[in-house]
Amino acid sequence: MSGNGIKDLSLLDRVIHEPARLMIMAILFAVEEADFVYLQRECGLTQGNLSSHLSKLEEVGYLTITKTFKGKYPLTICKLTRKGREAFDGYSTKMRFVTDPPNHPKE
Amino acid sequence: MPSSSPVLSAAQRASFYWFDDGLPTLLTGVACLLMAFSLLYPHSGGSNLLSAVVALVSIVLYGLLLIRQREILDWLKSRITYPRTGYVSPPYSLKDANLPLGLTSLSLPGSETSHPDERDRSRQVSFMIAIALAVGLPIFFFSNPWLCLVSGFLTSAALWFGLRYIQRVSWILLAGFPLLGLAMLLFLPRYIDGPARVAWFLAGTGVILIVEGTVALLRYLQNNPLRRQTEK
Repeated sequence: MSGNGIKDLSLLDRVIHEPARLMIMAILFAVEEADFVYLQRECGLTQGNLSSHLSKLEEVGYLTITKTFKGKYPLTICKLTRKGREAFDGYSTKMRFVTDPPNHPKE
Repeated sequence: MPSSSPVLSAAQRASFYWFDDGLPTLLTGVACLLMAFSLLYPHSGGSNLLSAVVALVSIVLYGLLLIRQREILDWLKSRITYPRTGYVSPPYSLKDANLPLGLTSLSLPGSETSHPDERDRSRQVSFMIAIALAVGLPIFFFSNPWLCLVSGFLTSAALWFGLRYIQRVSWILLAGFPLLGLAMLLFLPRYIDGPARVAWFLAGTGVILIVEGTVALLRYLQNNPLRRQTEK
C-alpha cells in the first residue's frame, strides 16, 4: 500500500471484496480449474447466486468460463486468468497489510 | 501464508476430493495386482507357455494402465464423480501424468499454481519411494519371514506419516499392511525366492487397495446420489 493509512482501505478491489466472490476466487486460486457443481458445493451458494457472481468475475476479466464435455457429461469449467490471479494476489497482500502491518509490534 | 489460510485449505480439500470416490486407489490396487501376477506366474510351476502368456498379458495390461492412467481415471470419473459432485483439476500436474500409479497420487498440485507446501509434498514423494525401497529390498534379499511382518508395520507407518496431509488414510490401509505381513509370516513357504516374496507382498497390497477403493467408492455413491443436471 502507498502508506496513506486508513484511506488505503478504499483502494481494495471491490469486485473481489464481496464474500461470495472472495470464496470463488480463493478456491480457483488454489486449484487450476473447477467446474460449476464443484464450486457450488464448496461455496454453498445457490445456482443463480453462483452464476451471477461468476458472470461478474468473467465480466471484469478475472476468470474464464468454458463449456465443455467430459465423456457425455457437460462441464462448465471456471479458471482464473492471469489478471484474476494477480488481482487476488494483490488483494491478499493488501489485506495482510491491513491485518498485520510490517511494523506491527510483536510480542 | 499460515497453513490454515482459506487458499491452502481449499487446495487441500481439492486434493482430498480427488481420492474421495476411491477410484485412484482402486486403479492403483489393480496395477499392483497385475504387476504381482506378472512376477508370480513364472514361479507358479504351471506349464511354461501358460505362465509366459499370463505374465505377458499382465505386463501389457500394467503398461497400458501406467501409460493411460490419466485417461482411464478421467473416463471413470466423468461417469461416476463429475455428474455427482463436480470436477476440479487433479492434485498433480499434466507433466506428472506418466509417473507410476500411486506416485502420481502423491505428487504436486497444478503446475501453474505454486503452493507454499509444494516442496513439502516433493519431500513426501521422496520419502514414500525411500520407504518402498526399504520395504521391498529386505523382502527380496532375505528369506526371514519375520521381515515380512516388519515390512507390513513399516508400510503402515509410512502411509500414515507420508500421506496423512495429502489424503485421508483409512483404517483399512493402516490395519491391512500389518495383517498382510502377518499372513506372509504364517502362510508363505520359506523356500520361495525373492521375486516371488515381493510379488506376494505386491499382490496383498493390491488386494488391500482394491478393498479400500471399493469401500470408498460405495461410501461415495451412497453419500452422493446422482442428481438432475439443472445448472445454467
